[in-house]
Amino acid sequence: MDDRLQRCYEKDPNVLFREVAGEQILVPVRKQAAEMAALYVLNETSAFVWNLLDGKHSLAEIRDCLVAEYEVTPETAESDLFELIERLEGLGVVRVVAHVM
Amino acid sequence: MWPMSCEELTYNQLGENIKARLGGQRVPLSVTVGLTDRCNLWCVHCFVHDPARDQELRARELTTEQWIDLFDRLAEAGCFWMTMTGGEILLRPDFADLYRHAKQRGFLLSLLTNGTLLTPELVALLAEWYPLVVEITLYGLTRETYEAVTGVAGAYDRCLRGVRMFLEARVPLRLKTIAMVPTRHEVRAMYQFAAELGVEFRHDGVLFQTFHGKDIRDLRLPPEELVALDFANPKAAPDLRRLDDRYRDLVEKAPHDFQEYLYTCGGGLRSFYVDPYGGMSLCQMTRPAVYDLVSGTVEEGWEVLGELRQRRVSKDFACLHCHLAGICQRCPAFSFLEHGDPETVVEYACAIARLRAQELGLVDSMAKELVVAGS
Ligand SMILES: C[S@@+](CC[C@H](N)C(=O)[O-])C[C@H]1O[C@@H](n2cnc3c(N)ncnc32)[C@H](O)[C@@H]1O
Repeated sequence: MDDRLQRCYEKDPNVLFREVAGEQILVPVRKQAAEMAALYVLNETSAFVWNLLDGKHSLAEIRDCLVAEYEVTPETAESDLFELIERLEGLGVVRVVAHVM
Repeated sequence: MWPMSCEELTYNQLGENIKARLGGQRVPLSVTVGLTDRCNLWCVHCFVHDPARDQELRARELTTEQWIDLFDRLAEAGCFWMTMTGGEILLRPDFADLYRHAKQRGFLLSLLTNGTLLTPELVALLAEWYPLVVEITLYGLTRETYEAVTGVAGAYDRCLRGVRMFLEARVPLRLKTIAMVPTRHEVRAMYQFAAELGVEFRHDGVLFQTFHGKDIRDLRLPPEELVALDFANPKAAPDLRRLDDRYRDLVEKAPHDFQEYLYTCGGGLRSFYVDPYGGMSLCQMTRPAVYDLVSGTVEEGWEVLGELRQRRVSKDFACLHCHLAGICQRCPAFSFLEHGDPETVVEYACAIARLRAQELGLVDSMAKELVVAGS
């Protein structure tokens, strides 16, 4: 099993999630919250993941939630999830807080 | 839905996307809150004018808890842009708490201030919890002019100190002035000054009449002078010219669809105003407030504004068939303050619209006779 699946991530508390006129948006509100130039727009599935990044759900669990919620194979869900997490980590808006066994 | 995406967007792009998505739908996205109508300055032209020390007014203003509760409700109702203005917002001793709370609710904040009451603590707060923009009005480029306009000795130095503090802390800053008789000789130099600081600058010049009965018409620049200034502004002039096509379109088709309803602005469509006492209205220039947000809900207030927007203009509305309505700054609030009636022609606005049309070559290019109100 890919070791990344055991990781739990939490969100930077200085990046807020807002839903505005149907757009799901990440809003950085504070300087030290990564030097984000602007805003980030999530699509439905990435917003779904964002809401599960609570420091408790492992990526394996989030993948399973995706499979249960959307018509997607576990393989696709998993690789897409890794890609999204990599992007969010790159932006500095999520970080690993635990590894579950 | 797939793949999962997280796309970077500028604030402007977001605004454009939302506008395109919503079309004509009414959604409360942008709120202006007047934290106080009191001010430490006493500007000759100001439409508000409530004294800083007026305890009775202060006691009527929403408390810290009431504002905080309201900000929560505004966020829940979907508001995303918030402008804080007054009066002078920094007169509120709880400004830092209100501001921080609004930021923590994810609002994109614009602050309108005279900058004179800025403290190092506030600058530090704004550097950390950065706003979209702080906009300071420069009431003069020299001490004489600034203090003649604002009536307060020492205010000029404090304003410039505020500007410098914001710049040093790299808080997003814009400057502006009001082009009128007492400031007219310094406006062009202000553009220069701002350019040297690397700060965006603009002037407004269409003075509204006031709420408190003082007649400020004699402070207005002659329309010719104001329009010349608008077109001389190296930044605004290209914008005005670019609008040419849109204007041409508006000018050529008449009567206009948008003349059917009294209110044709964003008030009650995307935006609204909350006064220092929790009263809701279409904009800061429309009084009295039509709904009380302390006892009521944002959603219900928004419906009340929607009903106002249903109001149609009457058949003898003078601007009904005016070809220049699209480039005219007249609005119901302007008319009401000028003549006590939301439908009346404002001669000053007519004159400016006509000169703008001339400047853009619209009048000459028109094959047909123009119907122009107020001429
Ligand atoms: C009322 S002040 C409040 C914010 C802040 N105290 C400031 O000085 O910018 C906002 C802006 O309204 C402008 N203003 C005041 N009276 C006006 C009037 N009669 N017509 C048009 N603009 C006016 C001011 O010059 C200022 O730029």
